[in-house]
Amino acid sequence: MRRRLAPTLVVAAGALAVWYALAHLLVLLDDPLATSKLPYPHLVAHRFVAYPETLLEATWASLSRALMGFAIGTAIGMLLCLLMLRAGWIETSVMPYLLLAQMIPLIALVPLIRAIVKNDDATRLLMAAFVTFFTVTIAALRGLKATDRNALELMRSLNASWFTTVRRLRFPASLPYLFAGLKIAAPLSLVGAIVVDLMGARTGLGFLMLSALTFGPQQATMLWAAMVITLAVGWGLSRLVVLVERKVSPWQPAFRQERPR
Amino acid sequence: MSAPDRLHSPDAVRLARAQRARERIRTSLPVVVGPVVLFVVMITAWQLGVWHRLFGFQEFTLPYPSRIGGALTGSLDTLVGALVTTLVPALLGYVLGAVLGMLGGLALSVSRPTVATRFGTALTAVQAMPILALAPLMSLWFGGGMAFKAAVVTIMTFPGMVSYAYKGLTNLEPEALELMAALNATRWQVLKELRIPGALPLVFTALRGAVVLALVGTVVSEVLHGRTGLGFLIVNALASFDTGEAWAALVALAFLGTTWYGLVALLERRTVPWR
Repeated sequence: MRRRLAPTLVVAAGALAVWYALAHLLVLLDDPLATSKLPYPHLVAHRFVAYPETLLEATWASLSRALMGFAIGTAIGMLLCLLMLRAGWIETSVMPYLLLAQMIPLIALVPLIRAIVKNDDATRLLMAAFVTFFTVTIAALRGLKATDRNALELMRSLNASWFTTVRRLRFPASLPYLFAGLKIAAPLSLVGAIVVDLMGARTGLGFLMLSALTFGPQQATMLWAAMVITLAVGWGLSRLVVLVERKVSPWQPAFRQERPR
Repeated sequence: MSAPDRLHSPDAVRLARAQRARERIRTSLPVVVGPVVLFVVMITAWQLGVWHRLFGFQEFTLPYPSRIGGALTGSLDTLVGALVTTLVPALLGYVLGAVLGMLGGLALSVSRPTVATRFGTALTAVQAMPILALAPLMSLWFGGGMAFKAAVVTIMTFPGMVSYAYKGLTNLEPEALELMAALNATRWQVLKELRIPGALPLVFTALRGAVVLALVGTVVSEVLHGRTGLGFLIVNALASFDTGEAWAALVALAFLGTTWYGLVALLERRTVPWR
Protein backbone atom coordinates (compact mmCIF):
# COMPACT_ATOMS: atom_id res chain seq x y z
CA MET A 1 0.00 0.00 0.00
CA ARG A 2 2.74 2.42 1.03
CA ARG A 3 4.74 1.65 -2.07
CA ARG A 4 1.82 2.78 -4.18
CA LEU A 5 1.46 6.11 -2.42
CA ALA A 6 4.37 7.87 -4.17
CA PRO A 7 3.26 7.22 -7.77
CA THR A 8 -0.30 8.16 -6.85
CA LEU A 9 0.92 11.48 -5.49
CA VAL A 10 2.94 12.05 -8.66
CA VAL A 11 -0.13 11.38 -10.81
CA ALA A 12 -2.27 13.69 -8.66
CA ALA A 13 0.33 16.46 -8.91
CA GLY A 14 0.52 15.92 -12.66
CA ALA A 15 -3.26 16.15 -12.99
CA LEU A 16 -3.26 19.41 -11.02
CA ALA A 17 -0.52 20.80 -13.25
CA VAL A 18 -2.48 19.90 -16.38
CA TRP A 19 -5.60 21.49 -14.86
CA TYR A 20 -3.69 24.74 -14.20
CA ALA A 21 -2.19 24.71 -17.67
CA LEU A 22 -5.53 24.16 -19.39
CA ALA A 23 -7.24 26.78 -17.23
CA HIS A 24 -4.50 29.25 -18.11
CA LEU A 25 -4.82 28.36 -21.77
CA LEU A 26 -8.53 29.24 -21.64
CA VAL A 27 -7.67 32.61 -20.10
CA LEU A 28 -5.05 33.22 -22.79
CA LEU A 29 -7.58 32.37 -25.48
CA ASP A 30 -9.77 35.18 -24.10
CA ASP A 31 -12.69 32.84 -23.53
CA PRO A 32 -15.33 34.98 -21.80
CA LEU A 33 -16.48 31.93 -19.83
CA ALA A 34 -12.95 30.81 -18.88
CA THR A 35 -13.59 31.09 -15.15
CA SER A 36 -16.75 28.97 -15.48
CA LYS A 37 -15.60 26.37 -17.97
CA LEU A 38 -12.42 25.53 -16.13
CA PRO A 39 -11.57 27.72 -13.12
CA TYR A 40 -8.20 27.47 -11.41
CA PRO A 41 -8.17 24.67 -8.81
CA HIS A 42 -7.36 27.01 -5.93
CA LEU A 43 -10.45 29.09 -6.72
CA VAL A 44 -12.60 25.95 -6.44
CA ALA A 45 -10.85 25.00 -3.23
CA HIS A 46 -11.53 28.50 -1.90
CA ARG A 47 -15.27 27.85 -2.26
CA PHE A 48 -15.05 24.96 0.17
CA VAL A 49 -13.37 27.21 2.73
CA ALA A 50 -15.57 30.23 2.11
CA TYR A 51 -18.99 28.57 2.06
CA PRO A 52 -18.74 25.36 4.09
CA GLU A 53 -22.26 25.71 5.49
CA THR A 54 -24.01 26.16 2.15
CA LEU A 55 -22.21 23.17 0.71
CA LEU A 56 -22.80 20.99 3.76
CA GLU A 57 -26.47 21.87 3.85
CA ALA A 58 -26.93 21.07 0.16
CA THR A 59 -24.96 17.84 0.47
CA TRP A 60 -27.07 16.76 3.41
CA ALA A 61 -30.33 17.59 1.60
CA SER A 62 -29.39 15.28 -1.27
CA LEU A 63 -27.38 12.65 0.59
CA SER A 64 -29.75 12.03 3.50
CA ARG A 65 -32.67 11.19 1.22
CA ALA A 66 -30.41 9.15 -1.04
CA LEU A 67 -29.25 7.07 1.91
CA MET A 68 -32.78 6.56 3.26
CA GLY A 69 -33.99 5.60 -0.19
CA PHE A 70 -31.04 3.26 -0.58
CA ALA A 71 -31.90 1.50 2.69
CA ILE A 72 -35.60 1.25 1.88
CA GLY A 73 -34.99 0.07 -1.68
CA THR A 74 -32.56 -2.57 -0.46
CA ALA A 75 -34.95 -3.82 2.23
CA ILE A 76 -37.91 -4.09 -0.16
CA GLY A 77 -35.70 -5.72 -2.78
CA MET A 78 -34.48 -8.36 -0.33
CA LEU A 79 -38.02 -9.10 0.81
CA LEU A 80 -39.20 -9.52 -2.75
CA CYS A 81 -36.22 -11.81 -3.39
CA LEU A 82 -37.27 -14.08 -0.55
CA LEU A 83 -40.82 -14.18 -1.91
CA MET A 84 -39.54 -14.99 -5.39
CA LEU A 85 -37.29 -17.71 -3.99
CA ARG A 86 -40.17 -19.20 -2.02
CA ALA A 87 -42.73 -19.17 -4.82
CA GLY A 88 -41.64 -19.77 -8.39
CA TRP A 89 -44.81 -18.27 -9.87
CA ILE A 90 -44.01 -14.91 -8.28
CA GLU A 91 -40.56 -15.00 -9.85
CA THR A 92 -41.82 -15.86 -13.34
CA SER A 93 -44.45 -13.11 -13.10
CA VAL A 94 -42.26 -10.33 -11.70
CA MET A 95 -38.84 -11.03 -13.20
CA PRO A 96 -39.59 -9.83 -16.76
CA TYR A 97 -40.61 -6.44 -15.38
CA LEU A 98 -37.48 -6.17 -13.26
CA LEU A 99 -35.39 -6.82 -16.37
CA LEU A 100 -37.52 -4.48 -18.46
CA ALA A 101 -37.03 -1.68 -15.93
CA GLN A 102 -33.30 -1.79 -16.65
CA MET A 103 -33.92 -0.72 -20.24
CA ILE A 104 -36.12 2.23 -19.32
CA PRO A 105 -34.78 5.61 -18.17
CA LEU A 106 -36.58 5.59 -14.81
CA ILE A 107 -35.16 9.04 -14.10
CA ALA A 108 -37.93 10.40 -16.33
CA LEU A 109 -40.31 9.49 -13.50
CA VAL A 110 -38.92 12.37 -11.41
CA PRO A 111 -41.29 15.09 -12.67
CA LEU A 112 -44.23 12.67 -12.63
CA ILE A 113 -43.60 11.55 -9.04
CA ARG A 114 -43.02 15.16 -8.02
CA ALA A 115 -46.40 16.10 -9.44
CA ILE A 116 -48.02 13.34 -7.37
CA VAL A 117 -46.35 13.71 -3.97
CA LYS A 118 -45.70 17.49 -4.28
CA ASN A 119 -42.67 17.24 -2.00
CA ASP A 120 -39.02 17.39 -3.02
CA ASP A 121 -37.68 15.33 -0.14
CA ALA A 122 -40.22 12.57 -0.67
CA THR A 123 -39.48 12.55 -4.41
CA ARG A 124 -35.75 12.20 -3.73
CA LEU A 125 -36.38 9.36 -1.33
CA LEU A 126 -38.75 7.56 -3.68
CA MET A 127 -36.41 7.94 -6.65
CA ALA A 128 -33.39 6.71 -4.70
CA ALA A 129 -35.39 3.76 -3.37
CA PHE A 130 -36.75 2.96 -6.82
CA VAL A 131 -33.37 2.93 -8.54
CA THR A 132 -31.80 0.92 -5.72
CA PHE A 133 -34.64 -1.58 -5.66
CA PHE A 134 -34.24 -2.76 -9.25
CA THR A 135 -30.47 -3.11 -9.13
CA VAL A 136 -30.41 -4.86 -5.76
CA THR A 137 -33.30 -7.24 -6.42
CA ILE A 138 -31.80 -8.63 -9.61
CA ALA A 139 -28.35 -8.99 -8.09
CA ALA A 140 -29.60 -10.57 -4.86
CA LEU A 141 -31.88 -13.05 -6.61
CA ARG A 142 -29.06 -14.13 -8.89
CA GLY A 143 -26.93 -14.69 -5.78
CA LEU A 144 -29.62 -16.60 -3.90
CA LYS A 145 -30.02 -18.95 -6.85
CA ALA A 146 -26.30 -19.47 -7.41
CA THR A 147 -25.95 -21.74 -4.38
CA ASP A 148 -23.74 -24.79 -4.72
CA ARG A 149 -25.88 -27.84 -5.56
CA ASN A 150 -23.96 -30.19 -3.30
CA ALA A 151 -24.37 -27.87 -0.35
CA LEU A 152 -28.10 -27.67 -1.01
CA GLU A 153 -28.32 -31.45 -1.08
CA LEU A 154 -26.45 -31.63 2.19
CA MET A 155 -28.97 -29.25 3.77
CA ARG A 156 -31.79 -31.40 2.46
CA SER A 157 -30.22 -34.55 3.85
CA LEU A 158 -29.93 -32.77 7.20
CA ASN A 159 -33.67 -32.11 6.96
CA ALA A 160 -33.06 -28.37 7.25
CA SER A 161 -36.14 -26.20 6.85
CA TRP A 162 -36.51 -23.74 3.97
CA PHE A 163 -35.81 -20.84 6.30
CA THR A 164 -32.73 -22.48 7.80
CA THR A 165 -31.40 -23.25 4.34
CA VAL A 166 -31.80 -19.62 3.35
CA ARG A 167 -30.28 -18.29 6.54
CA ARG A 168 -27.34 -20.68 6.82
CA LEU A 169 -26.56 -21.38 3.18
CA ARG A 170 -28.28 -19.40 0.46
CA PHE A 171 -27.97 -15.96 2.03
CA PRO A 172 -24.27 -16.16 2.99
CA ALA A 173 -23.49 -17.63 -0.43
CA SER A 174 -25.35 -14.80 -2.15
CA LEU A 175 -23.37 -12.02 -0.45
CA PRO A 176 -20.83 -11.46 -3.27
CA TYR A 177 -23.69 -10.94 -5.74
CA LEU A 178 -25.65 -8.78 -3.33
CA PHE A 179 -22.68 -6.53 -2.64
CA ALA A 180 -21.89 -6.26 -6.34
CA GLY A 181 -25.41 -4.92 -6.76
CA LEU A 182 -25.15 -2.60 -3.75
CA LYS A 183 -21.86 -1.23 -5.07
CA ILE A 184 -23.59 -0.15 -8.27
CA ALA A 185 -26.77 1.00 -6.53
CA ALA A 186 -25.08 3.26 -3.96
CA PRO A 187 -23.94 5.98 -6.41
CA LEU A 188 -27.15 5.46 -8.40
CA SER A 189 -29.25 6.34 -5.36
CA LEU A 190 -27.34 9.62 -5.16
CA VAL A 191 -27.99 10.20 -8.87
CA GLY A 192 -31.67 9.62 -8.22
CA ALA A 193 -31.65 12.31 -5.53
CA ILE A 194 -29.53 14.77 -7.53
CA VAL A 195 -31.74 14.55 -10.59
CA VAL A 196 -34.66 15.72 -8.45
CA ASP A 197 -32.56 18.82 -7.64
CA LEU A 198 -31.63 19.27 -11.30
CA MET A 199 -35.27 19.00 -12.33
CA GLY A 200 -36.55 21.82 -10.20
CA ALA A 201 -36.14 21.23 -6.45
CA ARG A 202 -35.22 24.24 -4.34
CA THR A 203 -32.45 22.60 -2.28
CA GLY A 204 -29.67 20.08 -2.69
CA LEU A 205 -26.43 19.78 -4.63
CA GLY A 206 -28.13 19.80 -8.03
CA PHE A 207 -29.97 23.02 -7.18
CA LEU A 208 -26.68 24.56 -6.08
CA MET A 209 -25.17 23.70 -9.47
CA LEU A 210 -28.10 25.14 -11.40
CA SER A 211 -28.27 28.36 -9.39
CA ALA A 212 -24.51 28.78 -9.81
CA LEU A 213 -25.07 28.47 -13.56
CA THR A 214 -27.74 31.15 -13.65
CA PHE A 215 -25.71 33.60 -11.57
CA GLY A 216 -22.94 33.63 -14.17
CA PRO A 217 -19.14 33.44 -14.01
CA GLN A 218 -18.95 35.05 -10.57
CA GLN A 219 -20.60 32.03 -8.99
CA ALA A 220 -19.26 29.38 -11.36
CA THR A 221 -16.80 27.99 -8.86
CA MET A 222 -19.81 27.03 -6.75
CA LEU A 223 -20.92 24.77 -9.61
CA TRP A 224 -17.50 23.18 -9.55
CA ALA A 225 -17.49 22.75 -5.79
CA ALA A 226 -20.93 21.10 -5.84
CA MET A 227 -19.84 18.90 -8.72
CA VAL A 228 -16.67 17.78 -6.96
CA ILE A 229 -18.68 16.96 -3.85
CA THR A 230 -21.23 14.94 -5.83
CA LEU A 231 -18.57 12.90 -7.61
CA ALA A 232 -16.63 12.35 -4.39
CA VAL A 233 -19.68 11.37 -2.34
CA GLY A 234 -20.88 8.94 -5.03
CA TRP A 235 -17.47 7.33 -5.15
CA GLY A 236 -17.28 7.33 -1.36
CA LEU A 237 -20.62 5.51 -1.06
CA SER A 238 -19.41 2.83 -3.42
CA ARG A 239 -16.15 2.48 -1.46
CA LEU A 240 -18.15 2.27 1.75
CA VAL A 241 -20.04 -0.71 0.35
CA VAL A 242 -16.72 -2.41 -0.45
CA LEU A 243 -15.46 -1.78 3.08
CA VAL A 244 -18.64 -3.19 4.61
CA GLU A 245 -18.38 -6.19 2.32
CA ARG A 246 -14.86 -6.87 3.53
CA LYS A 247 -16.10 -6.81 7.13
CA VAL A 248 -19.18 -8.93 6.44
CA SER A 249 -17.78 -11.53 4.06
CA PRO A 250 -13.99 -11.65 4.42
CA TRP A 251 -13.90 -15.18 2.98
CA GLN A 252 -14.45 -13.89 -0.54
CA PRO A 253 -11.70 -15.01 -2.93
CA ALA A 254 -11.48 -11.54 -4.44
CA PHE A 255 -10.16 -10.23 -1.13
CA ARG A 256 -7.92 -13.19 -0.48
CA GLN A 257 -6.07 -12.82 -3.75
CA GLU A 258 -5.30 -9.19 -3.17
CA ARG A 259 -1.53 -8.81 -3.16
CA PRO A 260 0.86 -6.25 -4.60
CA ARG A 261 1.82 -6.96 -8.16
CA MET B 1 -39.72 -54.86 -38.27
CA SER B 2 -36.47 -54.55 -36.37
CA ALA B 3 -36.06 -52.19 -33.44
CA PRO B 4 -33.95 -49.48 -35.14
CA ASP B 5 -36.45 -49.28 -37.96
CA ARG B 6 -39.29 -48.80 -35.57
CA LEU B 7 -37.41 -46.06 -33.81
CA HIS B 8 -36.95 -44.17 -37.04
CA SER B 9 -40.35 -44.77 -38.53
CA PRO B 10 -42.16 -41.56 -39.49
CA ASP B 11 -44.79 -42.24 -36.87
CA ALA B 12 -42.28 -42.48 -34.05
CA VAL B 13 -40.57 -39.29 -35.16
CA ARG B 14 -43.88 -37.45 -35.32
CA LEU B 15 -44.82 -38.75 -31.90
CA ALA B 16 -41.54 -37.66 -30.39
CA ARG B 17 -41.85 -34.22 -31.96
CA ALA B 18 -45.37 -33.78 -30.66
CA GLN B 19 -44.25 -34.82 -27.21
CA ARG B 20 -41.36 -32.37 -27.26
CA ALA B 21 -43.68 -29.58 -28.39
CA ARG B 22 -46.08 -30.37 -25.55
CA GLU B 23 -43.17 -30.35 -23.13
CA ARG B 24 -42.04 -26.96 -24.40
CA ILE B 25 -45.51 -25.49 -24.00
CA ARG B 26 -45.83 -26.95 -20.51
CA THR B 27 -42.58 -25.31 -19.38
CA SER B 28 -43.00 -22.02 -21.20
CA LEU B 29 -46.69 -21.46 -20.47
CA PRO B 30 -46.27 -20.07 -16.94
CA VAL B 31 -43.41 -17.90 -18.17
CA VAL B 32 -45.82 -16.17 -20.55
CA VAL B 33 -49.03 -16.34 -18.56
CA GLY B 34 -47.58 -15.10 -15.24
CA PRO B 35 -46.31 -11.73 -16.47
CA VAL B 36 -49.41 -11.16 -18.63
CA VAL B 37 -51.75 -11.86 -15.72
CA LEU B 38 -49.73 -9.58 -13.44
CA PHE B 39 -49.85 -6.81 -16.07
CA VAL B 40 -53.60 -7.13 -16.58
CA VAL B 41 -54.28 -7.19 -12.83
CA MET B 42 -52.12 -4.13 -12.14
CA ILE B 43 -53.55 -2.07 -14.99
CA THR B 44 -57.13 -3.07 -14.21
CA ALA B 45 -56.67 -2.13 -10.55
CA TRP B 46 -55.19 1.19 -11.70
CA GLN B 47 -58.12 1.80 -14.04
CA LEU B 48 -60.65 0.93 -11.33
CA GLY B 49 -59.00 3.43 -8.99
CA VAL B 50 -57.70 0.88 -6.48
CA TRP B 51 -54.28 2.57 -6.22
CA HIS B 52 -55.88 6.01 -6.07
CA ARG B 53 -58.05 5.04 -3.12
CA LEU B 54 -55.30 3.02 -1.42
CA PHE B 55 -52.59 5.70 -1.56
CA GLY B 56 -54.77 8.78 -1.85
CA PHE B 57 -53.60 9.69 -5.36
CA GLN B 58 -55.62 12.26 -7.23
CA GLU B 59 -56.91 11.73 -10.73
CA PHE B 60 -55.38 14.93 -12.07
CA THR B 61 -51.88 14.01 -10.82
CA LEU B 62 -51.96 10.29 -11.66
CA PRO B 63 -54.16 9.77 -14.73
CA TYR B 64 -55.99 6.51 -15.39
CA PRO B 65 -54.58 4.16 -18.04
CA SER B 66 -57.50 4.96 -20.32
CA ARG B 67 -56.47 8.63 -20.35
CA ILE B 68 -52.82 7.74 -20.96
CA GLY B 69 -53.94 5.51 -23.82
CA GLY B 70 -56.07 8.32 -25.15
CA ALA B 71 -53.13 10.72 -24.98
CA LEU B 72 -50.95 8.13 -26.75
CA THR B 73 -53.27 7.98 -29.74
CA GLY B 74 -54.42 11.60 -29.51
CA SER B 75 -50.99 13.24 -29.64
CA LEU B 76 -49.19 10.52 -31.53
CA ASP B 77 -47.60 12.99 -33.94
CA THR B 78 -46.17 15.10 -31.12
CA LEU B 79 -44.87 11.98 -29.37
CA VAL B 80 -43.20 10.55 -32.47
CA GLY B 81 -41.60 13.91 -33.23
CA ALA B 82 -40.31 14.21 -29.65
CA LEU B 83 -39.10 10.60 -29.75
CA VAL B 84 -37.00 11.26 -32.83
CA THR B 85 -35.67 14.47 -31.28
CA THR B 86 -34.60 12.51 -28.21
CA LEU B 87 -33.19 9.62 -30.19
CA VAL B 88 -30.80 11.61 -32.39
CA PRO B 89 -28.49 13.10 -29.71
CA ALA B 90 -28.81 9.93 -27.61
CA LEU B 91 -27.69 7.78 -30.52
CA LEU B 92 -24.94 10.23 -31.48
CA GLY B 93 -23.51 10.26 -27.96
CA TYR B 94 -23.94 6.50 -27.68
CA VAL B 95 -21.97 5.81 -30.85
CA LEU B 96 -19.33 8.37 -29.90
CA GLY B 97 -18.97 6.94 -26.39
CA ALA B 98 -18.84 3.39 -27.73
CA VAL B 99 -16.22 4.12 -30.40
CA LEU B 100 -14.05 6.23 -28.11
CA GLY B 101 -14.47 3.66 -25.35
CA MET B 102 -13.42 0.77 -27.56
CA LEU B 103 -10.40 2.74 -28.78
CA GLY B 104 -9.55 3.53 -25.15
CA GLY B 105 -9.84 -0.11 -24.20
CA LEU B 106 -7.65 -1.05 -27.14
CA ALA B 107 -5.03 1.53 -26.17
CA LEU B 108 -5.03 0.24 -22.58
CA SER B 109 -4.71 -3.37 -23.73
CA VAL B 110 -1.55 -2.67 -25.70
CA SER B 111 0.07 -0.38 -23.12
CA ARG B 112 2.50 -1.50 -20.44
CA PRO B 113 0.94 -3.46 -17.55
CA THR B 114 1.90 -0.85 -14.91
CA VAL B 115 0.25 1.92 -16.93
CA ALA B 116 -2.81 -0.22 -17.63
CA THR B 117 -3.21 -1.09 -13.93
CA ARG B 118 -2.97 2.55 -12.91
CA PHE B 119 -5.54 3.65 -15.48
CA GLY B 120 -7.68 0.66 -14.58
CA THR B 121 -7.79 1.77 -10.94
CA ALA B 122 -8.70 5.30 -11.95
CA LEU B 123 -11.35 3.93 -14.28
CA THR B 124 -12.96 1.87 -11.52
CA ALA B 125 -13.14 5.01 -9.40
CA VAL B 126 -14.69 7.00 -12.25
CA GLN B 127 -17.26 4.26 -12.83
CA ALA B 128 -18.41 4.60 -9.22
CA MET B 129 -19.04 8.31 -9.69
CA PRO B 130 -22.37 9.89 -10.62
CA ILE B 131 -21.15 11.29 -13.93
CA LEU B 132 -24.58 12.75 -14.60
CA ALA B 133 -23.56 15.50 -12.15
CA LEU B 134 -21.30 16.85 -14.91
CA ALA B 135 -24.32 17.68 -17.07
CA PRO B 136 -24.52 21.35 -15.95
CA LEU B 137 -20.83 21.77 -16.76
CA MET B 138 -21.34 20.24 -20.19
CA SER B 139 -24.01 22.87 -20.83
CA LEU B 140 -21.36 25.54 -20.14
CA TRP B 141 -18.92 23.94 -22.53
CA PHE B 142 -21.27 23.03 -25.34
CA GLY B 143 -24.19 25.44 -25.06
CA GLY B 144 -27.69 24.03 -24.92
CA GLY B 145 -28.16 22.14 -28.17
CA MET B 146 -27.45 18.81 -29.73
CA ALA B 147 -23.70 18.87 -28.97
CA PHE B 148 -24.43 19.36 -25.27
CA LYS B 149 -26.82 16.38 -25.07
CA ALA B 150 -24.52 14.15 -27.08
CA ALA B 151 -21.58 15.18 -24.88
CA VAL B 152 -23.47 14.24 -21.71
CA VAL B 153 -24.30 10.85 -23.20
CA THR B 154 -20.72 10.35 -24.37
CA ILE B 155 -19.16 10.97 -20.97
CA MET B 156 -21.77 8.74 -19.34
CA THR B 157 -21.25 5.76 -21.65
CA PHE B 158 -17.49 6.10 -22.17
CA PRO B 159 -16.05 4.74 -18.87
CA GLY B 160 -18.04 1.51 -18.88
CA MET B 161 -17.16 0.95 -22.52
CA VAL B 162 -13.42 1.35 -21.89
CA SER B 163 -13.52 -0.95 -18.92
CA TYR B 164 -15.44 -3.76 -20.64
CA ALA B 165 -13.44 -3.49 -23.87
CA TYR B 166 -10.19 -3.64 -21.91
CA LYS B 167 -11.40 -6.61 -19.87
CA GLY B 168 -12.50 -8.42 -23.00
CA LEU B 169 -9.31 -7.74 -24.93
CA THR B 170 -7.03 -8.93 -22.12
CA ASN B 171 -9.10 -11.84 -20.86
CA LEU B 172 -7.46 -14.58 -22.92
CA GLU B 173 -6.74 -18.22 -22.43
CA PRO B 174 -2.96 -18.59 -22.07
CA GLU B 175 -3.07 -21.70 -24.26
CA ALA B 176 -4.60 -19.74 -27.12
CA LEU B 177 -1.85 -17.12 -26.83
CA GLU B 178 0.80 -19.85 -26.81
CA LEU B 179 -0.73 -21.42 -29.90
CA MET B 180 -0.61 -18.08 -31.70
CA ALA B 181 3.03 -17.68 -30.67
CA ALA B 182 3.79 -21.17 -31.92
CA LEU B 183 2.16 -20.29 -35.23
CA ASN B 184 4.46 -17.27 -35.38
CA ALA B 185 1.48 -14.89 -35.51
CA THR B 186 2.12 -11.15 -35.59
CA ARG B 187 0.64 -8.86 -32.93
CA TRP B 188 -1.89 -7.63 -35.45
CA GLN B 189 -2.96 -11.20 -36.23
CA VAL B 190 -3.31 -12.00 -32.53
CA LEU B 191 -5.48 -8.90 -32.17
CA LYS B 192 -7.64 -9.68 -35.19
CA GLU B 193 -8.06 -13.41 -34.78
CA LEU B 194 -8.01 -13.79 -31.02
CA ARG B 195 -8.41 -10.63 -28.96
CA ILE B 196 -11.20 -8.85 -30.82
CA PRO B 197 -13.49 -11.88 -31.25
CA GLY B 198 -12.83 -12.74 -27.61
CA ALA B 199 -13.75 -9.23 -26.51
CA LEU B 200 -17.07 -9.13 -28.35
CA PRO B 201 -19.27 -10.70 -25.64
CA LEU B 202 -18.13 -8.18 -23.01
CA VAL B 203 -18.32 -5.30 -25.49
CA PHE B 204 -21.94 -6.19 -26.14
CA THR B 205 -22.63 -6.36 -22.42
CA ALA B 206 -21.37 -2.78 -22.20
CA LEU B 207 -23.34 -1.75 -25.28
CA ARG B 208 -26.55 -3.13 -23.77
CA GLY B 209 -25.92 -1.40 -20.45
CA ALA B 210 -25.16 1.89 -22.19
CA VAL B 211 -28.61 2.12 -23.81
CA VAL B 212 -30.36 3.23 -20.66
CA LEU B 213 -27.47 5.57 -19.79
CA ALA B 214 -27.82 7.26 -23.17
CA LEU B 215 -31.52 7.85 -22.62
CA VAL B 216 -31.04 9.03 -19.03
CA GLY B 217 -28.36 11.49 -20.14
CA THR B 218 -30.51 12.87 -22.95
CA VAL B 219 -33.68 13.17 -20.89
CA VAL B 220 -31.94 15.00 -18.03
CA SER B 221 -30.23 17.30 -20.54
CA GLU B 222 -33.56 18.04 -22.18
CA VAL B 223 -35.07 19.05 -18.87
CA LEU B 224 -32.00 21.12 -17.95
CA HIS B 225 -31.61 23.05 -21.17
CA GLY B 226 -33.99 22.09 -23.85
CA ARG B 227 -37.09 23.07 -25.68
CA THR B 228 -37.59 19.72 -27.38
CA GLY B 229 -37.63 15.98 -26.87
CA LEU B 230 -39.50 13.53 -24.67
CA GLY B 231 -37.91 14.79 -21.44
CA PHE B 232 -39.02 18.33 -22.17
CA LEU B 233 -42.43 17.07 -23.27
CA ILE B 234 -42.97 15.45 -19.85
CA VAL B 235 -42.10 18.65 -17.97
CA ASN B 236 -44.01 20.83 -20.39
CA ALA B 237 -47.15 18.69 -20.29
CA LEU B 238 -47.04 18.69 -16.49
CA ALA B 239 -46.70 22.46 -16.46
CA SER B 240 -49.94 22.72 -18.42
CA PHE B 241 -51.57 20.03 -16.21
CA ASP B 242 -51.83 17.60 -19.11
CA THR B 243 -50.70 14.60 -17.06
CA GLY B 244 -52.09 12.17 -19.62
CA GLU B 245 -49.62 13.41 -22.21
CA ALA B 246 -46.76 13.43 -19.68
CA TRP B 247 -47.36 9.76 -18.90
CA ALA B 248 -47.77 8.99 -22.59
CA ALA B 249 -44.30 10.50 -23.11
CA LEU B 250 -42.97 8.16 -20.43
CA VAL B 251 -44.54 5.23 -22.28
CA ALA B 252 -42.83 6.45 -25.46
CA LEU B 253 -39.51 6.55 -23.59
CA ALA B 254 -40.07 3.00 -22.33
CA PHE B 255 -40.84 1.91 -25.88
CA LEU B 256 -37.69 3.61 -27.16
CA GLY B 257 -35.50 2.03 -24.46
CA THR B 258 -36.79 -1.51 -24.89
CA THR B 259 -36.69 -1.36 -28.70
CA TRP B 260 -33.15 -0.01 -28.73
CA TYR B 261 -32.03 -2.61 -26.21
CA GLY B 262 -33.74 -5.32 -28.22
CA LEU B 263 -31.98 -4.25 -31.42
CA VAL B 264 -28.59 -4.32 -29.68
CA ALA B 265 -29.39 -7.78 -28.30
CA LEU B 266 -30.41 -8.91 -31.79
CA LEU B 267 -27.16 -7.58 -33.23
CA GLU B 268 -25.32 -9.41 -30.47
CA ARG B 269 -26.98 -12.70 -31.37
CA ARG B 270 -25.98 -12.18 -34.99
CA THR B 271 -22.40 -11.16 -34.23
CA VAL B 272 -21.63 -13.50 -31.34
CA PRO B 273 -23.69 -16.59 -32.10
CA TRP B 274 -21.34 -18.85 -30.14
CA ARG B 275 -22.25 -17.23 -26.87
